[in-house]
Amino acid sequence: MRRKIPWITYAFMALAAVYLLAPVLWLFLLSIMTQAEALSTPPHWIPEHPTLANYMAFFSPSERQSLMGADAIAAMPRAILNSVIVGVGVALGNVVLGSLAAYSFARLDFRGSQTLMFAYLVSRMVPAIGIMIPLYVVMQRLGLLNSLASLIIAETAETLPFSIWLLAGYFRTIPRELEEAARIDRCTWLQAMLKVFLPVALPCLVATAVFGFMSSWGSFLYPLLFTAGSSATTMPVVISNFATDIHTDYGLLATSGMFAILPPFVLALWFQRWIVSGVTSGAVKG
Amino acid sequence: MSSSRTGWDRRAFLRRSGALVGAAAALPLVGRGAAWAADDVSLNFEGWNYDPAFQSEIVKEFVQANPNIKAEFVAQPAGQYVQKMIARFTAGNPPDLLYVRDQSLAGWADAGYIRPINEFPGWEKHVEGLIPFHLDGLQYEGKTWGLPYYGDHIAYIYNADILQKAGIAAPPSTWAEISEQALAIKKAGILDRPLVFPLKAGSGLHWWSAVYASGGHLFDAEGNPLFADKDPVSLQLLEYLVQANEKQILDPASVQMGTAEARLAFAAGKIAFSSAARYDLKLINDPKTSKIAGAAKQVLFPSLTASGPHATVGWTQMFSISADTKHPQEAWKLLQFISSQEVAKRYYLKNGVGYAYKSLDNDPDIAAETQKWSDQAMFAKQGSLAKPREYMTFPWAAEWEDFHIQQLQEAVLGRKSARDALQASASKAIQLKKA
Amino acid sequence: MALLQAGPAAAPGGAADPALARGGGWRRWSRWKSALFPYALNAPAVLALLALVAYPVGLSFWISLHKMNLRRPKSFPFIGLDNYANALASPEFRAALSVTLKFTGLAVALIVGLGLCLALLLNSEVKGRGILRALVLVPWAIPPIVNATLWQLIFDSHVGAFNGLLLQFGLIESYKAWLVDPAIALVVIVLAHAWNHVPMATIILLAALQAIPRDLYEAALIDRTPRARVLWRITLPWLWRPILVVVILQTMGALRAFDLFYVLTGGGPGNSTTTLAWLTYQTSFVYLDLGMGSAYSYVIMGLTLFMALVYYRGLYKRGDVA
Repeated sequence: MRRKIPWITYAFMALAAVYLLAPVLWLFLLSIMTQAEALSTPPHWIPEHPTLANYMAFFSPSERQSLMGADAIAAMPRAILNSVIVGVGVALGNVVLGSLAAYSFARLDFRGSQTLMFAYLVSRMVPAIGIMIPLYVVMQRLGLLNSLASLIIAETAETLPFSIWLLAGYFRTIPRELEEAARIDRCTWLQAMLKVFLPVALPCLVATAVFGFMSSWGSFLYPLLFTAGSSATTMPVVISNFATDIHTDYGLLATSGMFAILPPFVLALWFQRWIVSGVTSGAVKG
Repeated sequence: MSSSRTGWDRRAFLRRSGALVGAAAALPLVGRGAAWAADDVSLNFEGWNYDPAFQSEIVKEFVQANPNIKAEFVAQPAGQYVQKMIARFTAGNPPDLLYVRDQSLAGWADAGYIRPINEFPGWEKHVEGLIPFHLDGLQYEGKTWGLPYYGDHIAYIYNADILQKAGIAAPPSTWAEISEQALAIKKAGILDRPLVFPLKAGSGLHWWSAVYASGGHLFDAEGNPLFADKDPVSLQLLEYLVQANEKQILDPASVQMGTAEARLAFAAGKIAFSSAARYDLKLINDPKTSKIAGAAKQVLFPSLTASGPHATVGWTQMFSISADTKHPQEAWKLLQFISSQEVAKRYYLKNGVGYAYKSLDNDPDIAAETQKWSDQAMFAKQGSLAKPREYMTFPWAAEWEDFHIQQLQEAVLGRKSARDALQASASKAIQLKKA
Repeated sequence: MALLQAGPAAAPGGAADPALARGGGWRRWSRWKSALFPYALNAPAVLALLALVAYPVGLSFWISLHKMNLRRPKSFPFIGLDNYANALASPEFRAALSVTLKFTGLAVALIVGLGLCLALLLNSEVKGRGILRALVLVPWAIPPIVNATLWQLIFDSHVGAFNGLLLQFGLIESYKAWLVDPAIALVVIVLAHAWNHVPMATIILLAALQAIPRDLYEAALIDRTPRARVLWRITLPWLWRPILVVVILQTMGALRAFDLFYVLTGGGPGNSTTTLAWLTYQTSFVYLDLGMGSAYSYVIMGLTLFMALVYYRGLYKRGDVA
C-alpha cells in the first residue's frame, strides 16, 4: 500500500514515542543523580552533577553506606539470577504444559472440551489478593516454601490459561497434512510432534515463552509470600526493599529499576518478530 | 501463516535462544533455603527491612557468644510485613522471634500468635528503666509481650532558614502562630503553601499527636468516641485545617503525604512546618539526602491554646517470641541479647532512631550524636510528653482509623463540613464496636 | 470419526484421517486417542490449576461463608452468606464498585484505543516505525512494582517531573498536588496503568493486522478507495475479534489491578480511588477480616465472569465465533 503518509501520522508517532519513552527516561536520569539533585525544583533535565555512584554501588556495595541500601544491594545479583531462573522455568512450563493442552483443543474432539477451556479462562479471573493465604498453605503442604520451584509452579499456573488459549489458536492454523505425512512415515505421535508439528509452531512457542517470562519477571506477591531471605528471593521483592518508607533514596531506587527493566527489554527486543508472528494466528482465529 | 512474511528462521532462532536455554538448564531449579543441622538449635528471626545489616551483625555476635545456638536474621519488605507474618501464623510456621509493631500487638496477642515474656524468669529487670510510653507499648491485658527494638515520637519541625528569611524571630508554639508565620512566609514569596499536615491513609500518628498536643482525647477507656462534641479538640483542630486550606497556607498535597513523603518534601525545601518522625531529622539535616541540611529544627508540638500541653504520640516497635516456637528458652536468650541497652545505643549512634531506655537520655555519646542533627534537650523533653495511641487495643482500630483519615481528607478538601466528617467517623466507630 | 467434525474444537475442514485406515499401532493409537488422550494431554495443566487455583479458590469460598477475623483465628462460626449480604449492603462496597467500573472502563478504552492506533502505525509503511516498534516494548519490560514507583516519582506534588515540566512550559504557576483531586487521581492511575499495558494490546492487534490477507488491500488500492473507508470496511471488521480478545484480557487485568493504587493513592483522597481490589486487600490484610475479604474477592471474580460473558454474547451475536 504505497500512499503518502499524512503529517498527522508523524505527529501522533512523535507523541506516542514521548508517552512511551519519557517515563523511563526520567527513571534513567534519576539513576544518574545524587539524592540532593533528585530533589531539585524545577527538575534538572540534564543533571548538573551526573554520577555513576548509584550504579557503582551495585558492584562495590561499600560505596554506599545507606541505611538499607547496602543490604538490598548485596541481595540484588542473586535476586536477578533467581528471577531469571524462575522466568525461564515459567517459560518452559508454559510451553510444555500449554502445548500439550492446546494440542487437545486444536486437534482432538473430546467431551467437555468447551467446558474445560472455559474453566481455564475462569481461573484467570481470580484476584491473587483473594487467595494469598490459601495459596500459602498449599505451598507449605507441598513442602515448597522458600524454593524457586514454588514460584515457578505458582507463576506457571497463573499464566497457563492465556498460553493454552494462545497456542490452541495457533495450532489450529497448522495444516493437518503435516502430521498426516509424518504418520505415513510411521513416526510415533511424539516424533511427529517434535519433528514436524512443534517446529512449525515455533513462533507461537517463542511468544508463549516470552509472555510467561515477562509475567513472572514482574511478579511480586508470590515471591514475597513464598520466600524469605536471599536464597530464593526475586528481583521485585528486592526492589520493594529500596522503596521502604523509612529511607527512600531516589537514585538507588531508580537504578534498581533500570536493572529490572534491562533483561526483559533485551528479551523483548531480541524476540520481537517471533512474538508478533507467534501471536498472529492465535489472536485472529483463536 | 506465511513464514516468508513474518520472517522467522529456525536457525537464527536456535542461535539466539541457545544461550538462554543452556544457561537455564545448567542451573538448579530448586533452591531451598539453608538447611540446618538437626542436633543444633536453630532460631529463625525475622523483621522488616530497616537496616537489616545491623540486625544481622548483632545476631552474628550472639551466635559467637552462644555457639550451640544457630540463628539468622531475615528481613522482609516493610510495607508487606504484616501480611507476610499473618500468612505464616495462619499456616503455623512463624519465625521463632520477630518484630512486632505496637498497633499489631493486641491483635496478635489475642490471636495467640505470640507469647508473653512473663513466663521467663527474670523478665522484670528488662523493663525496669524503660521510658513510660515504650513500656505502655509492650503491654496488653496486664502482660508484657516483648522487649523494645526501637521507638520514637512524632516531632514538630520547622525550616529555620525560611523563618529567618521571612523575618520571624521565634518558632511557633500554637496553631494560630503557625497561621501568622505561614502567611508571612507566603507574603514574602518564599513558599506558596508553607504548612503540611500529613493525612495520607496509614498516617494516623500525626492526627493523634495533634490531638494530644492540644490536650484532647479521641476515645474513652471503653472505646466510645469523644468527638465531635464531648471533647472539642478534634473539631477545633479539623476546622483549623479546613480554614488553613481555604486561606491557602495548608498544602492540599497533605492528604497524599505520609511520614516519608513529608520528609522528602521537607528535605527539598518545600515545607516550612510539618510533623515528622523525630529520627527523620537526621536525614533532613544531612547534605547527602537533603537540600536544606542544617535548617530543620524541632519545636514542641503546637497546640490550640498557649497552655499546651504540647504532648505527642510515641510509638514502640518490639521483638516478640512466637507462641509456636519449639525453642522458647533459646529465643528468650536471643531476645535479651538483641534488645539490650548497649545494642539500642549502638543503633542510635548509627541511625538516630529512638531508644526505650531512660538512662540513655543522659548518655554523652548519644547527646553528641543528636547534636549533630537535632537538639538532645528537645528530644528528651518532647519524649517525656509522649504517650501511645489510646485505641490500639480495640480490635477494630485499624479499620476505624482508615475511615477516620478518609473523613479528615474529605473535610480538609472542603467536600464535607468538619462536623459532618467527625460525626461520620464517630458513627463508624460505634458501628464497628458493636459488630 | 464424525465426532471430530462436530465440536467447535474441530479444525475447519478436518477431513477423515487417512492414516487411521492403516493397521497396527496406529489403530490402537487412534482408539486410545479418541478416548483418553485429550484428557491425558490436559492432565498436567489441570493438575497444576487444581492445586494452585481451584483448591485455594475453594478454600477461600469456604472461608467467605464464615466469620473469620485473624485477630480471633480460633473463632470460626459459619454464617452462610452474611458476608456477601453485608458486602453488598455497605456503602463502601457500592462506592468501590463504582470506582472499579470507572477505572476499568477508562483503562480498557484507553488501552484499546491507543493500542489500536499504535498497531495501525506499526503496520503501515511509515518511516521510523522500526524505532517505534522497539519503543512500544519499553513499558512492557517494566515490572509493575517499578511502574508504580516510577509514576509516583513523576506525579509527586513537590519534586515530581510532571510538575516541573508544566511549570517550565508556563502552564502552571506553582507545583500542584495532582493526586489530591479525586477525578485527576483516577485519571493519573489510568494513565499509568495504560502505559504499562498498551504494549501487550499493541502486540496482539499488530499481529492480527499482519494476518490480513494482502489481496484485500490490493483490491482497494486499485479501486482508489479512500483511506478511511479501507480502515472502516476492511481493517476494522477483520480486527473485531482480536479487539474483543484484548478487551477481555484487559478487563480481567484492570479488575485485578492493585499495585498502582497501593503506591500512588492508597485508595484516597477520601475513598475516591478505592477499588474492589483495594478494598479486598484492606479488608483481608489491614483489618484481618479474612471472611469478608474472601467474599469481596468472590465478588470481583463474579464481576469479571459477568463482563466476560457479556462480551462473549456480543461476539456470538455477531456470529463471528469460530
